Amino acid sequence: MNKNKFIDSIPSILIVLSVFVLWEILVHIQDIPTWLLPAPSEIFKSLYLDFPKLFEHTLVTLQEILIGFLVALIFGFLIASGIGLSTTLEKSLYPFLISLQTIPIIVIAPMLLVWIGYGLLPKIIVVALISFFPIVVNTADGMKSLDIDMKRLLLTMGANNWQIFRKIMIPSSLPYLFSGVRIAVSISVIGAVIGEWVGSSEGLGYLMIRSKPQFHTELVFAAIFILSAIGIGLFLLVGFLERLVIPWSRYENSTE
Amino acid sequence: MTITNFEIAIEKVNKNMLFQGQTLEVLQDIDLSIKNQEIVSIIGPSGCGKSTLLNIIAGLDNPDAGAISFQGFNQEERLGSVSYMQQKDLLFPWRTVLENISLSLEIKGISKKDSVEICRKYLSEFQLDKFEKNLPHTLSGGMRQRVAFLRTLLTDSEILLLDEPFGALDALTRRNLYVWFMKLLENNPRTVVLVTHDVEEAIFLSDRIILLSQRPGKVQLTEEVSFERPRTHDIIAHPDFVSLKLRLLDRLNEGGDE
Repeated sequence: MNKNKFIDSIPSILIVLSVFVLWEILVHIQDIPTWLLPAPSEIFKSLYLDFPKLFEHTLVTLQEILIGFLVALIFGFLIASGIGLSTTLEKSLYPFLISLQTIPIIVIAPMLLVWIGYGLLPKIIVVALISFFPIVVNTADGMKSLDIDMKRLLLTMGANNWQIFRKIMIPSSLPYLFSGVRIAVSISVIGAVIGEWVGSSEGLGYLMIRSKPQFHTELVFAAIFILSAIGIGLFLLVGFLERLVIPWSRYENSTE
Repeated sequence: MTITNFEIAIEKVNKNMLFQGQTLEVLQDIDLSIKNQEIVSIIGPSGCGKSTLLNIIAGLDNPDAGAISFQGFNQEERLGSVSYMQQKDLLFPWRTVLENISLSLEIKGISKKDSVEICRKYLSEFQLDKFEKNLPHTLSGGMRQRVAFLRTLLTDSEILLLDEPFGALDALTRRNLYVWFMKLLENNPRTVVLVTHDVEEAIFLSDRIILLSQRPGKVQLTEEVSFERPRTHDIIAHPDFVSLKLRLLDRLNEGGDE
C-alpha cells in the first residue's frame, strides 16, 4: 500500500521538479536579477541560511492558523448542529451565514486592526472567519442527509431526539465535515497571511511585507514555500485523520 | 371495560397514500386480531400494503381510519413498544457488528458492559462471534441480514414485527434459522407478525396465515396452521402441509391474474 502511494505520487513530484529546473534555467539564461525573480536555488539557499528567522515566524503563523481553524471548527460544528436540529434555525441562520461569506475578508481585516489592535487575536478572527463557512455549510448538509429509515428504526426502539442526533446525525455528518475541513485548512493559510498583511510585527506575512521593499525577494519566496508546505501538510493530515476516524465512509453505498 | 386476550387488535383500518400526486387506497377495512404469543404471517402480492400494515402496527404510520390496540388498550403512541425489522437491513455503517446489535440496549440506557455480555451470547448462536468487530461493509448480504435480525430480537419487546427477515439468506441458512427461531420463541415467547413472500416459510413458522388481496389490500383469506410447535423439518413433506401450500399458492395466483 505504501509503495503504491509512492508510485502514485511520482508524476506530481516530477512536475514540481521540472518546473523548478525550467525556472532555474530561465532565470540564468535571461539573467534576471534576484530581487526581481530569485532562482529556486536562491530560494533554497535562503531557506537554509535564514532558517532561524523563518522558523520563528513560521511558528507564529502556524499558531494563528491552528487556533483560528479550531475556533472555526467548534463554532461551525455547533451552528451546523443547530441547523440540522431545527428548520427554523436553518431558515434564520442561512442568510446570515451567506452574507458573512460575501463580506470581503480583505476589508474586514483592517477594521479588526482598528477595533482590536495588533497581536494574535485579530489574525485568529480572520482565519476563523475565512475557514468557518465551508465547515458549517458542509456539516449542516451532512446532518440533513441522514438516512430517514435509520431514524425510523431508532424511533421504533423508542429513541428520543437527542439520541437520534447523537447516534445518526453526528456520524452521518462526519464525511461531509471532513470535506469542509479539507477546504478550510487550505484557505486558513491565506487567512493568516491576510491578517498579518494588514498589520503585524511577526509571522510569515509580516516577513514578506518587510522583505519586499528591502529587495529580499528570495526571502518572500522562501516564506511562500513554507506557507504552501503548511497547506499541503495540513491537507494530508486531515486526509490521514479522515481515514482514521471514519474508515467506513469510503464503502458506504450511496444508492438508495 | 373490555377484557380481551388479544395482544394486538386492528379494527377497521384504512390507509390511503399519496403517490405521484394520486391518492392510492392501500389498505381497506383491515380487521385483524392477534393472540398473545401467536405467530401470524401476512402474505400477498407485492404492493398489497403488507409493509404499510407493519408500519402502522409499529406506530411509524397512522391509519386514516380505524384503531390499533395492544392488550385492550387503544394505542395512539405505539412507537417504541414493538420490535420492528424492516426490509432493508439498515445497519449503521459506522458501527461494528457488536455495536449495531447492541443499539436498542444502548437506547434503553443499559450499560456497555452489560449489553456486550448479552450480545455476545447471541452472536455465537448466529455464528457471528468471529465478526463482532467487523464493520457492515465487510459482511455478505446474508450475514448483514442475520445481524439485523439479531438486533431486532434484542429489542426486547413483547411484539415482534418482521418484514421478510430471511429474504437475503440461502435456503440452508434459512431452514436452520427457522428451527432456531422456533426454539427461541419456545423459551422466550413473543407475539410475531411476519411478512413474507415465501408460502412455505409462512406455513412452517406461523399459527395463522393472512392472505391480503391486491391493492387495496383486504383480508382475503385466513388459514390456521395446526402443526404443533416447535416444528421440525419433516413437516414439509406432510400431506396437510402440501395441500395448504397448494391452496395458498392457488389463491395467490388468482389475485395476480385479476
